[in-house]
Amino acid sequence: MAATKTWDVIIIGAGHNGLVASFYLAQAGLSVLVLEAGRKIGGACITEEVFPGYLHETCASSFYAFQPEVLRDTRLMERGLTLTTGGVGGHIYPDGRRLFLNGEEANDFEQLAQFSVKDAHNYQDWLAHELRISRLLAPYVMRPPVSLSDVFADYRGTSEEALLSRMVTATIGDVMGEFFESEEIITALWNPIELGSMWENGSGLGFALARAVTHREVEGLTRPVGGIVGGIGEVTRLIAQAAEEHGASIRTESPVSRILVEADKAAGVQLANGDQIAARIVVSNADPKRTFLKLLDESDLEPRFLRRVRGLRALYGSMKFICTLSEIPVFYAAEGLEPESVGGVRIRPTYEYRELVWDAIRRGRLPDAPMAAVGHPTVSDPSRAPAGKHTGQWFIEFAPFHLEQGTWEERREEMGEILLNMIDVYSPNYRSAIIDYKVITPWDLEVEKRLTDGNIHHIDVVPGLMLDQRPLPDLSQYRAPIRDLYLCGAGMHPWGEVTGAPGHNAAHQILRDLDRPGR
Amino acid sequence: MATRNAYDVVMIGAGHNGLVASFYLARAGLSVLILEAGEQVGGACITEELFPGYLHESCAQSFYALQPEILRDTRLVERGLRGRTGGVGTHLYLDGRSLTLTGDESNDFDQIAQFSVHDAGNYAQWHDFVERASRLLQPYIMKPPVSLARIFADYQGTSDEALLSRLVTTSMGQLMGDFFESDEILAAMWNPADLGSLWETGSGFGFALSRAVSRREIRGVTKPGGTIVGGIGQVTRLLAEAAEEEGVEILTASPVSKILVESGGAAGVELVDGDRIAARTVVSSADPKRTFLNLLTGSDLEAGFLRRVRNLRAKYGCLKFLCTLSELPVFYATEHLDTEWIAGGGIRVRPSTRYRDLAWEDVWAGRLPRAPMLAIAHPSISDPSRAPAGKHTGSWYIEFAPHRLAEGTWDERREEMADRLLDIIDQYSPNYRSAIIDYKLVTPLDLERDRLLSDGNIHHIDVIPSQMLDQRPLPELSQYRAPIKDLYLCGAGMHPWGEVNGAPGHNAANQILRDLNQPKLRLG
Repeated sequence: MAATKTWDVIIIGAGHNGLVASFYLAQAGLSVLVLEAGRKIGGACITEEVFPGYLHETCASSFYAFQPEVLRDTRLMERGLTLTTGGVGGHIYPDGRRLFLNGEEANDFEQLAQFSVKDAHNYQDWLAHELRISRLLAPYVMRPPVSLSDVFADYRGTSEEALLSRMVTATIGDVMGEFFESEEIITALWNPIELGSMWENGSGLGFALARAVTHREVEGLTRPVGGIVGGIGEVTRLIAQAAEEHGASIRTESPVSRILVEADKAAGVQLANGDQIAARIVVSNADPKRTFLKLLDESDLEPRFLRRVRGLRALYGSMKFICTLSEIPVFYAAEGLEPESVGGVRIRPTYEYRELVWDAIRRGRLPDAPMAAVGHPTVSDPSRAPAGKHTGQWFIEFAPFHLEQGTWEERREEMGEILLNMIDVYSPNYRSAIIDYKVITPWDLEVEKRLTDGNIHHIDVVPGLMLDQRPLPDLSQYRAPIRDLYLCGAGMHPWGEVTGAPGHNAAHQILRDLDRPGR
Repeated sequence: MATRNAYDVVMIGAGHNGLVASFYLARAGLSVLILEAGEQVGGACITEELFPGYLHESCAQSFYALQPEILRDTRLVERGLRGRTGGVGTHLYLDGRSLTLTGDESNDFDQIAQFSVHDAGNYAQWHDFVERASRLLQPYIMKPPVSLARIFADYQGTSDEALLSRLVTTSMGQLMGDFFESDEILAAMWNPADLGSLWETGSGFGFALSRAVSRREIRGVTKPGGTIVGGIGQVTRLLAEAAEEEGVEILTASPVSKILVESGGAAGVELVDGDRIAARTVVSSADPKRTFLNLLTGSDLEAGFLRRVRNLRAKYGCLKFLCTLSELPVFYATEHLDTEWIAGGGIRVRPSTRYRDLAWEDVWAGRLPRAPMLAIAHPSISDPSRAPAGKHTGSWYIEFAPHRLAEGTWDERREEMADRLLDIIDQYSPNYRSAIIDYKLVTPLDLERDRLLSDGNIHHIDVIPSQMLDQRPLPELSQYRAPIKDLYLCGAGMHPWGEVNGAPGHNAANQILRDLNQPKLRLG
């Protein structure tokens, strides 16, 4: 056991939120050590060479929610973060129809009118309404959470008061039902992954929060959305670079086995190899369950608190299907388009389809109607594959973590077969174009990305786990019930996805507690 | 075509809310005529002789939610309303265990500890939580609804502020998970009947509202408890008596076919037989869909409004199974207990959360329920007047059932469903099936046809957070006023909700009197 210097801050995990927190803390002049279990930094925001010569985003793949202030402060664009262009996409249906919206009014009208002329007419009104909804919670994203009651107080007497009540009490199906009648359109415009949804139709509050994060605009700042050249791992690589510039140290292959507690306060960490490292402050970027149930001794916490942590809802896991392709796949529904112009397609054609997925989750069955976002990043970023070859990445929303029969290890190939049978319905050549593939199951996400329950949002994003109730009221201010221990991951306000907001907010809370304003 | 004298108010429907509203309007000095389609008053709150010599409550059966002010004002107890308690409720489980909570602390601890000592230890805290939750919305029941924002404002800075946020955002499953771990206890403690729940585990907000309604008390008023002697139809019979004493006229067998609209205002009604009756004000105790889609012509209303009414969520119906019994049923799980005490208190079959999930899945898929949740009463135990000597009545309330079946109709599949129910009770009772002399299954389709409840929904529309308070049934309808002048609604589809509570009728009457600007006649 080597006793070395005492750091101001140790951060457990070099995912995007841990890195963002380390950046702000180092920038404020603190000595910061980030300890990453994996061989590479990135956590769930990573690009990996799973198949030689090909780059895949093995967990997060969408760069659409990153907060503009964090982008500015870390100077990611100046460091070379480059967004891809090209490739449109949209929804495809088993009957060969497609819904490809591109923001161009005439195109979008025509596309929607295939399903319902009335809905096509209402689409612009919906966009305006969606924007209004997105503004409700936008002021609450980049700061420690307030209570719903405080939000109501802020809107008292304003024109948005009734909208807020509506979003708190309605399902997103109710809200969209006021604009649309077509099942295809409602399923297409409502992306279940953003909504930590309940059965049925998701919560209006979840929708408002997701939209607040993704639509938030800050005057004078840009909010880039799209694919990243080189893969989403570039985001974490460049945040790490920014943090290191301010003096943060990052060590990979350094799994933490325990948070050390002395005299009721966090005192450092112990690594799996037995080394102990002292720190004034410990920040966990791991999820709440992992932090309190695995990295601390039971005796450090009250039994009732531990029970509540154990009971945190994390019902739905995610899955990925990644593959290498000998040619670009074509889709029946994209007939008439250049295959190379199709960036990605989404498969979630009906309500029934969505409900079957939920059934499977509740029963612990393999989802036989998986909702899939199928992307081919090489269409716009050829650097990810050898010349002439392509990569495929499917994000599967959602999947049960616990299977009723067998384990994910035992049933991985069966799941792969279900997915291939599904794609056969939509594409004549997808299956034959596949050179290699891998199904990344919720179990893999738990083991490899250390996400408890295979949950990419750490815990579900349901109204009872939002704002100052995320993850629990007594944890919501980023402070653990042990002094000098903080949390900064996706399980904290505002939510998951690659936003950087929990890391930003946690760092500022720490600086405030140290009475040391950030720069 | 005969035209009668004009009334101040014509009320459509003599259900409990129509009667309550009429009572208050007449007491304030207005001339009121109630038109009831059925042969007797009562609507969904009715006692009927379906089998000669036996009385059954063919729709509502629970008298627990009537608001105390109404009980007092209509003097129902003085008029003879009596309740009798005949036993204690029991939950049955397939493995032969049972859960019988009596309110006695040590009994309840032992009973729950069969399933989990941890849960038994938390039961008292759960009780306190329910009590606190039930108080939050009590001030908002007996008046026109306010917005959720208003309620947040009222509680700001108080000790209940966080509780309100929690109830509004959290499912019952999560709330109960703070107290209980046993699946059997979780299934037992959440009564789906009073929650208009979302899938999953119901809304905490719905729970708070239902508890607010059912637990409200005022000083000096004691509600009759247990089984109503003579059946729940006594409530509406006595409400009608009180209303008539105030001068209300009631015509039964007088179905309304149309609400008459003249120059943008309600002017009266037309009966199925063609008679027209003029009125200054028309009040509908029918559900919103029936009122706007069946009783008005499309041209009286805007297309957007009609679409919103059509879309009002009414997803889950219920079933009733009514039977006559040659002897009292016994249950495997309670063989050691007094038969009358058990059968008299009400039997609950909802053994697991999985069972409940199956019930919901089948509602969504339009299937015959595979896992119907049963609440079984044997009212003749505490009220022998309902059956011939030595015989008994069984009344099962069954949640949930789809309104429309994906395959076939309820008429075609009635016997199949009844067989399924009998197969289930066979698992719990050795003699229930053989004790049945006669039975009738009341389906959602029957409730729609016989009780004129759209979608067979006993709450008119679902009680979910987006259809509560000033969003019930729609924001622009929530103040009991229709978009047609002088037309009002007063039924279960209005704030606060369904069940036999009378509050919508009371609140609608109050609103009408305010609109008529009759301060002298205003309610006390």
